[in-house]
Amino acid sequence: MNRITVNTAVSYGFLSFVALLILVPLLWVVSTSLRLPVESYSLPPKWLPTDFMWENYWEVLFSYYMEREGIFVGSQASANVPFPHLMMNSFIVCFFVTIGQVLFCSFAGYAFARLAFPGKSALFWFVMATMMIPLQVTIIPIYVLLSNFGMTDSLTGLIIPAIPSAFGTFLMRQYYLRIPSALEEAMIMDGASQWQVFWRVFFPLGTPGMAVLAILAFNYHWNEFFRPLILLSTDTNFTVPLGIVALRDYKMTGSISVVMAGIVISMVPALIIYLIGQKHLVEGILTGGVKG
Amino acid sequence: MANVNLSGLSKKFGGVTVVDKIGIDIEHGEFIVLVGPSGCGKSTTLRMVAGLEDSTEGDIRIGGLVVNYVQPKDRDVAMVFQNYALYPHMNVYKNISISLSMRGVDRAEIDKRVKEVASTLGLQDLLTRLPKQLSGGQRQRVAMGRAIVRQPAVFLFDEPLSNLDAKLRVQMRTEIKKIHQRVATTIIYVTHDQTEAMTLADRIVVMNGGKIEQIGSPQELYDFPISKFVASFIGSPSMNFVACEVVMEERNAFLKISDNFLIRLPEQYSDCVDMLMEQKLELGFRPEHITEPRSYKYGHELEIDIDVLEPLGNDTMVYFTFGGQGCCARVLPSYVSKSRASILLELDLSKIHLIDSDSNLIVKAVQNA
Amino acid sequence: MLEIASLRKAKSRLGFLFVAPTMLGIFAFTAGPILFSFALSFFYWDVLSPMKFAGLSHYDYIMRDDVAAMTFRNTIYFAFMVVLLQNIIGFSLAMAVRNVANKYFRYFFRSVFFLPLIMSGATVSVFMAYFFDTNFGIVNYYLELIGVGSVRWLTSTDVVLVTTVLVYAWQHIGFTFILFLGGFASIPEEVIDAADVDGLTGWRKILYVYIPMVSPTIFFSSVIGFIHAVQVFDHPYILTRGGPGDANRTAVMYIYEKAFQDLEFGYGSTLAILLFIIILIVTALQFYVQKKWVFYE
Repeated sequence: MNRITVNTAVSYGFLSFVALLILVPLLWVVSTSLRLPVESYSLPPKWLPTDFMWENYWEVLFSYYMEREGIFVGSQASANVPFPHLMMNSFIVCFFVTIGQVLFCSFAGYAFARLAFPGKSALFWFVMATMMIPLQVTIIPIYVLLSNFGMTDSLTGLIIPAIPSAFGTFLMRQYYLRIPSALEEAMIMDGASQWQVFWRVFFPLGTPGMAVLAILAFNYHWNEFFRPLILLSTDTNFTVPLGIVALRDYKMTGSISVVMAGIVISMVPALIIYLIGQKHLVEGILTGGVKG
Repeated sequence: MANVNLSGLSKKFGGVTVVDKIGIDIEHGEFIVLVGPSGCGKSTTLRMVAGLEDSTEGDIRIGGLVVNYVQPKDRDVAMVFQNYALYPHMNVYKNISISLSMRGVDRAEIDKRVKEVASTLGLQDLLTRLPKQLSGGQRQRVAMGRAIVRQPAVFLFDEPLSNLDAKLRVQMRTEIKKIHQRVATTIIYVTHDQTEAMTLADRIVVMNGGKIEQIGSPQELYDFPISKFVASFIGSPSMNFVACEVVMEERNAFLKISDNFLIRLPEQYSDCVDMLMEQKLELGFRPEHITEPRSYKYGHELEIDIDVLEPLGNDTMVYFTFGGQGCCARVLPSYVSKSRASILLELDLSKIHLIDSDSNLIVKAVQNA
Repeated sequence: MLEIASLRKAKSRLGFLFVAPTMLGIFAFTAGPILFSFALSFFYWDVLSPMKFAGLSHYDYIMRDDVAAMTFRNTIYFAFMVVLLQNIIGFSLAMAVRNVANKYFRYFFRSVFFLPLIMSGATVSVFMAYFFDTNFGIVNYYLELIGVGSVRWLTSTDVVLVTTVLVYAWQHIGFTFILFLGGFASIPEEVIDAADVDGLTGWRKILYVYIPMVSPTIFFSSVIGFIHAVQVFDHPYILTRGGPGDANRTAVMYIYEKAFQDLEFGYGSTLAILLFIIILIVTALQFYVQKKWVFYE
């Protein structure tokens, strides 16, 4: 009896400690975002919200536009960052990348799983190998390629290279492999064409895989920093992470509440997607991980 | 070797009582089998003896000492699991010897014991193999070797043969029996298969719904079950049950089976006739006790219509309807042929049982010689 | 079914069609670029003026470049520490969660640990920088309070890389945690019971049963973990822009600076190729050592 209780107590203690370690800083971020700018950096730190200065959020979202109208809100700094515009940019990028990946990786994944074409296994190993190539090795040539087409400093330049995904292809292939081939055989007996077999049977059944891919893709590109930093230069083209850093750089010293407000806003979409698709995310990692 | 004693042992999971105040006294060196349908609590009981589950109530004593709060490894028990539970990353030698190394037994002694056990079980050539390279029967033997090498006070077996095919099962059953003869250690064995129970046990504990129905030797349970459950559980094919009542006709007592069928009430019930007449009863008789006419000392002949015949080679099972119920009789193959639609059977009345329908208990009869 | 010729042809046609866009993309944006990068590493190029052949001079220069040495050393050290930390913490958390009977609590812990993973490394670094600020940071405030004294987290050359490790690990706890949860789930309950009866308890159980049986997971998490950690950019860049000095500068940061700030595309490519080679070597090594300690069923 006692042995189990001690084990359980220690486990709960350890888990709670780590959970606190994670939640407390996040709580501080939220609290600070609502704090009077002047108080934001004060010590001893107040973990819970003391003020509810929603104006901080107002400032992050609207100061840029208000200034253009000649109205000054809050401090100078945030007036330089068109936050909602940046959110829009991020949305556009994420939206198209996600749709693109889901679609094209489904096609390719299905091809590798269920179709035959010359050089299929060689190509598959090739695709797997490219998964190991880090972004940094390819970024310079990609930059050169995009600038030749005049696509640097544009969202399109961010979107297009992101759509072909070796990982996504691998993921979808795994999902399609799990669908019993008996279903395909039944369709063929009924006279379906290859396209119909895919569109009517496998594509709908691959929905869980697509969900995982969509969530992973959206999340990754929402939070991406490196590529946007390199490829985008005009501040109206920035994505959200760049915007947050810009906000911080402009603020430098003094109040950080506004920066925190920006951070909180930036986390909302990711959080929403997370809450909806959490189960799929975990499953995604497990599919890739355990079998490895 | 030690005796094991369970008293007032219960296990509750949330609101569900899985084991309900059971008490068993197991002797030194006895081979006792816990048998019953799925969910009757036999595995849970075994796990409590092992220390893998905590008891909600009651005591477990091994060798006289209360072990409720003792860790499994200190209880001097060894366990053989249904799915063998071999360590997949250790070879056969390591699997068998690991528990000894953990206890600090010296290398030479370990080596001696492992080699000994291995040769007893026919594993001597497999010592360097990994579990995944072994067949089911071989894995089972490694699991047993792992238990035997520890020379524990008690062996615990948790449905070890359930995953083996029928032929292998029969083989392994004999192996286990031989091991018991050789090491003479107390064995507690759990199974849902009554044949295993009957062939292996010194005594059988029949469990149902967390309670003990009956404890006794295989023969005792076969000849003198105390409840309908035990009567139907033990013996294959199982006992036939037909509704009946006791009636008086011309100052003689008879068993009346639904369609005006009368059988003279056997001797052993003669002193409780009045009581019996008040009760709703069932007549229980085993297929092997209703046969071709053999002139039993107390027998009753009846003509029946054959529904189905099942020739088994040694016997033929005859399925017929009696008293509104499907019944089964065991006859010599030569006695029946496909052409005959009805035959004469004789029921051995000295072997029948009467069951009280309300309590499902067997009416105690005066034992005759 | 593939034996039917007409079917095979139909599959082949569709297969080709389906796989073409992605393959084209991969060629254009992954395979092609790496070849181009490799080629570029033999040239001087600043984008504005035409390319000039450089032969092996970039590779020669790397050998003498102290900053490159520093940054690559930082990166390897960082990756090693991160993988070690992540594996230990993820493993321990997954083990601890197994002792939690209540499924709502389990769900709660799982969700919390996973949370930082959905955030941007950039965003995390922004607020962590405030946390670890030497004068106003909360971490130092509490350290002073308990008498340990403040640490120059972001301003000391000895400490700053450790800070980055901590911030990165904080964010990535969930990853190894989930992996090990999956790994543990595949261990049959019976084997754990057998271990209890045999006397393999406590530390021995972890050493002789748990670790060997999840060794594929440990392997996977180490390989993937290393590859990701070695590419770290966001965290050191945003925490201290690589400073103080070069103490927090990682290989990718150096590549970024050389290529996109100093406009030395040739040398930048050389550095990138070097990074790639290091990844290949370490990964190959891990695969080789795998036979010695990883157990697959």
